[in-house]
Amino acid sequence: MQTQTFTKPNPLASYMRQPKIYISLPSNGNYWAPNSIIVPENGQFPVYSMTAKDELLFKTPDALMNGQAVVDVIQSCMPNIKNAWACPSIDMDTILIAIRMATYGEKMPLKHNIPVINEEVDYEMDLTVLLNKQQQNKWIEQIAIDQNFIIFVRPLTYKHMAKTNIKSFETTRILNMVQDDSVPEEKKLEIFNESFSNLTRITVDLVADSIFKIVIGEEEVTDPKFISEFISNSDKDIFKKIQNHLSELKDINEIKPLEFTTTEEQQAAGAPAVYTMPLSFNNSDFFAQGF
Amino acid sequence: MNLTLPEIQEEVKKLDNDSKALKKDIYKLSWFMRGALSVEEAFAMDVADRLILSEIIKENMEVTKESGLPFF
Repeated sequence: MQTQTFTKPNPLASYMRQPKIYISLPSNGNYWAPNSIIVPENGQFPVYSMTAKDELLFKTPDALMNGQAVVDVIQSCMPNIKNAWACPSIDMDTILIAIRMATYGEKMPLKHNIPVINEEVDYEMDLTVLLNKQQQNKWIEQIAIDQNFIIFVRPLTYKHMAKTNIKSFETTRILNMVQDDSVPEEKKLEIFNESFSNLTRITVDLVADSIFKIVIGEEEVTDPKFISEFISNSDKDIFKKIQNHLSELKDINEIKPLEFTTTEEQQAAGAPAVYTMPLSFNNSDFFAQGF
Repeated sequence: MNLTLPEIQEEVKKLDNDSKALKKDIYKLSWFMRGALSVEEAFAMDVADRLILSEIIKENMEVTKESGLPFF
C-alpha cells in the first residue's frame, strides 16, 4: 500500500476531467502489488467518466479478449490505479460498476424476455444498490488444514483471470474441433487427452497462484516454486479443501442473478411465478451506450 | 467465452459498427464546432460533455435557420 502527497497543484488541473464519484475498494488497497495503486488518505478513490477514446477501447475485440481494454480504461478513469493488471478479483466489479456510473449515470436499462411467454420487459437497474453490495465483498485468507498447518490465500489478480480466460477459451475451441467428423478417432483421443490435461493444469495453477503463504508450525513458506510443487503433489483432500474455500469466496463475492416476479396474468399465460436473470458483465454489453 | 464462432463473428461485427458510429459522431462534433474543438479534444471528452455540445450545435443550427443566413 502506498500513499503519495502532491505539494504543488498541477496548473493544468482546471482543464482536466473532474471526478464524478468517489468509492472505497473492498480490498482497501490490500492485495495490490507494490506501486500498482496509490491509496488516498481517506481511502476514497476518485472515479472519472470514460472519454470517447476509452469507449472505443471497449469496442476493440482483440483488446477486450486479452484484457488490455479493461486495464487501459481503469487506469484512465481511476488515476490512482497505476497498474490495473494487479487488480484483485474482489475489487474488479466495484471498479467497473463505478466507471459505468460515472460515465452513464446511476440507472442502467436492462431489456430481457420472460421465460416461456417470451414477453419483453424493460427494467431499470439502480447501480448504486449493486455498487453498495459489491463494496461489502470480503476475503478470508486462512485455511486451517490442522493446528500446525495453515494455508493463506489471496484473491487472483486481473492478469491471472485474463490469462486463465484465454487458456480456457483456447481449450474449449480445441475441444469443439473434436466434434468434427472429418477428424480421425485416434487424433480426437489425442486432442481430448491434451485438452483435459490443459484444463487440469489451469485448475492446479489457479489454486497455486491463489496461495501466498503456508505456515507449518514455526516455519513460513512463501516461495511460489515450493508452493506450486506442493500443490501439484498435494493430497486430494487438502487440494479439495483449498478449492472449496476459494469457490465459497467466489460465490459470496460474485454478482447475484436478478430475481423477478411475474403478474397473475403472465403466470396464466405460462410464465413462472419467479425467475432469475444473470447479470452479464460482458464488457461490450455493460458499457455499450453511445451518445 | 461461451459464444460459438458465428456468435463471436456477429459480436465482432457489432463492435466494429459501434466503433465506426462513435468515430463518426466525434468527427461530426468537431466539424460542427467550426474549428473550436479539435478531433483530439473531442476524443478526450466524456459522453455528458458531448451531449451538451450536441445540444449547443442543435440550438445554433435552429437560430441560423430562423435568421435566414446561409447555412452549410
